[in-house]
Amino acid sequence: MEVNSENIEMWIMMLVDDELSAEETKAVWRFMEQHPEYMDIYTAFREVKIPAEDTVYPDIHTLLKAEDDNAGVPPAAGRRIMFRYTGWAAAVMLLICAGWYGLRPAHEIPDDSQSMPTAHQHKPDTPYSGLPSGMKAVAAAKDTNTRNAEVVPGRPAKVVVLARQRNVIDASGKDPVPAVAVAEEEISRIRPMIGQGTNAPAQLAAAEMHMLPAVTQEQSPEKRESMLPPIAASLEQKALLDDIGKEMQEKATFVKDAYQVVKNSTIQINIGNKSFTIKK
Amino acid sequence: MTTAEFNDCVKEYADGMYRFALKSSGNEEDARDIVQHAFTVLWENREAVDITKAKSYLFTLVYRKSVDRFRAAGRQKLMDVLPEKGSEVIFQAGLKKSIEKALMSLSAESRNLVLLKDMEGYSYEEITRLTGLSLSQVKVYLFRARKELQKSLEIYKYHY
Repeated sequence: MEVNSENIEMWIMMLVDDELSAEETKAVWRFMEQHPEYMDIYTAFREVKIPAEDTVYPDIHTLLKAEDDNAGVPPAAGRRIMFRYTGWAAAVMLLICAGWYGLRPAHEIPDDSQSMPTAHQHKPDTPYSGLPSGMKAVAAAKDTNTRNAEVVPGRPAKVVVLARQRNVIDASGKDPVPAVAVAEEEISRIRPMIGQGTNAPAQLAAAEMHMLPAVTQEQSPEKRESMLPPIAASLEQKALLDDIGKEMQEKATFVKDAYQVVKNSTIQINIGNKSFTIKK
Repeated sequence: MTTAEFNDCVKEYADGMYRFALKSSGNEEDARDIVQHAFTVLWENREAVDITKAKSYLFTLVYRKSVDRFRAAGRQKLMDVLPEKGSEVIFQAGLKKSIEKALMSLSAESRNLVLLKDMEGYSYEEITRLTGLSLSQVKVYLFRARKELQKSLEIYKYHY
């Protein structure tokens, strides 16, 4: 292509951009020597050349990949910090949930407890099964140790509940007679004082429960002490604690497994044309 | 492309890509997003991308993303960044700033061509491959861009 006054500016730009061959470069310079007025154009093109700069990507390590990394590119620094402890947070949340679940009273645990047997399930025929509904509620509210209530053959269930409430019955039920006799006597004293209407069972239950502390206090400390089976009660409590311990152990194993699943998982989130990868 | 080759690309090209994206977008956060996006795409397609083509692949991604971003953001005006009068030092500093601002006032396509040529040192031929433009288009767009920059510079000098 010939260099002339019509296209000299384009040639000058290409000269400044170092895009010309040696021969073309000579031709352009020769033309400018003959027409020095175009030197200003050359200067103008050189002035607007954008100078090279040393700019460094701020956190290049976030772009690098580990040798065994086959997932997506890690997120930018800010996002990485945000998700750094996600795995641990999830594990802690699971532990809290499991702890809460395991420490609830047995009667609040739903049917899924079938897979994790409780002390309550070992003794399905509780004394409450023979009680009117009103009394069940009152007895459950008053007796926080319901899971340990026993069935004593030949004795009405509510009598056994009363005896248990006062903690004067043998857990095995083998020798309950003194305590049960006391309880039967107490109920017989209460019964004449309540009405005969439709609410009678509930009134009886309420009255029985309200009477218990007073009746218990009527017994001398020595007599109460002699009625208590301390070793049996301790064994019973130990068995309960063992059951709770087993439950906790099972739940801890479950949480540990769940954490491993979370730890080994990679979650990729696509938002529009952005892609974020969360990986422990 | 292996992981090691990918990391080599990061070490070799990230700075240049970031410099280009920063000048093109005028915003550090946008520039980082653009670079990160490019490497994400490269990583996802690493099986298909040959290491010898990785540089142009990355810069093509950065170029296109920069054009998209600019189209979404709109143009910046030159006139509101003219500096105050002062010494020669201020004049030179203002001149540099003025060119940069003038660069931002160009269309995204023209600006990116100037950056690819001046800052990253690509030849016209390489720019055609990166941008998909013809050689004539590259020359014409670059020529117009440079003329616009000259005009902006004249305004600055006159103002000063």
